[in-house]
Amino acid sequence: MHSDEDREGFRILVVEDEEDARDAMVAILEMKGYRAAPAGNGREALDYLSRTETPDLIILDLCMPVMDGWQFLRERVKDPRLAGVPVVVISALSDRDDFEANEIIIKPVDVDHLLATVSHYCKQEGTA
Amino acid sequence: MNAIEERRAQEQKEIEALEQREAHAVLNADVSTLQTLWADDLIVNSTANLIAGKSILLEMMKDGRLKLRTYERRPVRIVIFDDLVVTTGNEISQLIGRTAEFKTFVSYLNVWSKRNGNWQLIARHVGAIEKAKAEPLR
Repeated sequence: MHSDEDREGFRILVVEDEEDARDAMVAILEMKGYRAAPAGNGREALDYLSRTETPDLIILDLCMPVMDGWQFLRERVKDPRLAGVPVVVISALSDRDDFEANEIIIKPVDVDHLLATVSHYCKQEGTA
Repeated sequence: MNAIEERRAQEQKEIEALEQREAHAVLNADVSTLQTLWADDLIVNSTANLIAGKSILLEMMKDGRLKLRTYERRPVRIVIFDDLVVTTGNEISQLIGRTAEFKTFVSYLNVWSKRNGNWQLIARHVGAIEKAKAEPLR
């Protein structure tokens, strides 16, 4: 398990259209020492990413208005800056596998599992 | 009223009081009361579709990230199975924070278990009914 100091500086983008879920995930990640930013759909996420530093991890919902998670993933691989950023997909659609992501977490999201997954992808170099 | 009915009525009152005591502790972020009313293995499935346990919820309260301006609970049905009780009803709350402009109406289901003579909340599920614009915070 990592201390809050280990997590400082790691940037996570949370892309989720449901405000309650998005706000709760951002609040929990911030409480755990991460720098978390919210986006309400894939378009908002791409706009945000075009004007900020590349995040260390993207947490992505699939079913969203304006631009859904599938479209976002296709756009992401076209951008060399974003192509290497790990993506954790959160979805209630357990039977869909028509996308590429580093990890899939099924909704409802177990917070302990989410934090363990985030910790796995946000490691300081040299830490186990 | 016979002795069994009297005992049932007494248990009903006890659970209603317990439900209100827990809701009051949540409203006031009374972590020490919740430490005793919530089981260590409590599991909560929220309207945000997040499953959280006791430690993360108490941490959010202590950190001020889970803070309520108002919180009312109205149990509609209480079913007692010896040392296990299921309560269900509705709640109206208003958070302090990013979504403070809304009042949230939810239905809930709480499961209480009597452990070592004390009732503890062991499981809770909350489902959204609707959100309504609320009075702005002053």
